Amino acid sequence: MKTMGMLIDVNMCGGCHECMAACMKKQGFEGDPEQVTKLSATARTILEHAGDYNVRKFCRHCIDPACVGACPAKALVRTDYGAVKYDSDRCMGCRYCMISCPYDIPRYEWDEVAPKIQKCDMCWDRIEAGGIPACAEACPAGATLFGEREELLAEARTRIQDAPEEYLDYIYGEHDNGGYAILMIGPKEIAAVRGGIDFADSSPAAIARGVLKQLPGFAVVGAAALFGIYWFAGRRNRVMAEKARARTDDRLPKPPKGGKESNHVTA
Amino acid sequence: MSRRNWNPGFWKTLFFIVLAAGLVVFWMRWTRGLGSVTHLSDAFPWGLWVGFDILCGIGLAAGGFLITAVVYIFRLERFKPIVRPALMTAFIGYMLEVLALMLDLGRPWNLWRPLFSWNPDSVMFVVAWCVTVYSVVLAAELSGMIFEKLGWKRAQVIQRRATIPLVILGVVLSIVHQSSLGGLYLTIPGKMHELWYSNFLPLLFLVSAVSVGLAMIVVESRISGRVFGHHLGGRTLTELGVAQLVMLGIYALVRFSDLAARGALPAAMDLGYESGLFWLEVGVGLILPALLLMVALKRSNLRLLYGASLLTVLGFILHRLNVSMTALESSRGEHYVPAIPEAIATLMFVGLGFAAFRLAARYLQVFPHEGDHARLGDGRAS
Ligand code: SF4
Ligand code: SF4
Repeated sequence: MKTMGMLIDVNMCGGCHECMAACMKKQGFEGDPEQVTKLSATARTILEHAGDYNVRKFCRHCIDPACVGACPAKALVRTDYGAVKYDSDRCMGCRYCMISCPYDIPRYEWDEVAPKIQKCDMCWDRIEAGGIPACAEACPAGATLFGEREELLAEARTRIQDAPEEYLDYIYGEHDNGGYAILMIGPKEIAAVRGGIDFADSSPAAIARGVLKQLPGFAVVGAAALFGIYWFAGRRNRVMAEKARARTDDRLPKPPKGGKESNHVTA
Repeated sequence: MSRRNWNPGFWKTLFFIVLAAGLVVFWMRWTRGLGSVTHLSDAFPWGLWVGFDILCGIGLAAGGFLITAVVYIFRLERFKPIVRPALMTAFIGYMLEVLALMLDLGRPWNLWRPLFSWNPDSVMFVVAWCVTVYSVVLAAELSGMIFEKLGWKRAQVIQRRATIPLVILGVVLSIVHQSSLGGLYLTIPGKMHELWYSNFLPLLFLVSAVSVGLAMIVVESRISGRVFGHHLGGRTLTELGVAQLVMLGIYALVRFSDLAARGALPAAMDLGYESGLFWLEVGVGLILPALLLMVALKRSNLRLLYGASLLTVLGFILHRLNVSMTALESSRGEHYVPAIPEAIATLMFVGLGFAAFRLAARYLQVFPHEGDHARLGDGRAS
């Protein structure tokens, strides 16, 4: 499947909270969407406010996701079409994904005995069944579009070109931190919640990847070096033992294989 | 050695009270969830149990791999009497970490997954691997003690033959483990305060683990001297002190040149919450012990050496708590203070550590026969 994604156009959003309502309904979460202002284990998407504008906040489905890089159990994986999904049957609950996500997206079920990670999974089950994410289906204003990422990028560019005075000339998610499947455009005001536009080009996941690539080599060289030191230290001890023996009186009989034995250490 | 301060009755009672309270924490965690016993939150998913029990616990166990390297790889046999106590400490430390994970992990029954599904991008995968494999290596390194107790001669011989490969494997795993604990934080430059984020965190964690490993051997020798009447000779202790001083020097060099290179030194100069905790860590835990060590070594004062070593341990703990908690507070916009049950569980792990060591020392040959009751400062390296 091609890389899919969503385009959020903040200029089109009227703040009706239908995306949140649809998400909560699908996940079986209780509550009034208008009252929910923070991501939580029972709110995978919210609306943040920048002046009069509403800015959706949910998982950005990074192309090189820090959370997937972090997960030791492969409970978080990125599908070939771009959804970053979670499998609680593999998760060991270390919460390193929460630490690692640069945008603090993953949430935890702090009151559960066997807590799960909660975050938007792009409704991968609906996508794989040929459908579209619940929020995109619910949006009456066309502010959340689902489609192929390339097409959405072209659409975003057109919208910015057609009305340059209404849009910040930047597509959030095209390149920042390696790019996201979830793109966002909107007025200049959204920079207040989305941050400036000088993001890194690569994901933080690349930092760990770069360091860990050297690990196998390091381990092999390290083990070899330790063995070398062991061998040299044995020689040194033997030589020192010889010297000590040479200094002692010749009348004493030489102990058989004495030097070797004296190096033998036991645990 | 005076045993005036050692009152078994008092400590035993305290231990059982803390143990009972700790078991209640376990029970609450496994009936009502982590939220019922901790101040952890989505903003602070890691707290005292990760910052102290795991990051510090593993570092404090570093004496084990150090001393095996010194005795079996560098073959400096006069350090042999400390091999067993140091390995025993390390093993107990790792077992306690696994126990702490049973409390902290949300779904610990999946702990084995990293062993079989490799994620080469994940520092946590490396950490999980090291914990598991090194625990087994430590058990194998110590098994000789058990075979000795049981009188299994053949097993003892086999175990002895495997010593060098085991030691090399253990040293490599430990170096990787110690540094990867710091490596966990490499991927979040944007979330950490500039006084603590560093590309050199893995190296800083490794070097500080080595210095604290050395300090712990001095501290353990002192404690076991009080409790069991075993302690190391003055010459050995002095050598440990010199090595500790060298490691503190290397650490300070890396720490400060990194701060300077990143232009973070001004942040240490303005008065505030972070800079205050930074200077507490560096002043009390790095500069002061280094100065005391110099004086102690110059005057061959073993009491001072012991005090300096305690400060090294303290500084190490402060650094790891700062990295795992303080450094994150400003980007979270809130403070994290551990809940009382979190502190109780941590105390329980510390208590269990002491108790396990006592039991091991009573029933196994942890301390050597020869050199028993050797006095501190007699100049003999047992
Ligand atoms: S936004 Fe966070 S949780 Fe979502 S894919 Fe990216 S790193 Fe993972
Ligand atoms: S909490 Fe679960 S999903 Fe997150 S990193 Fe740990 S194992 Fe992976």
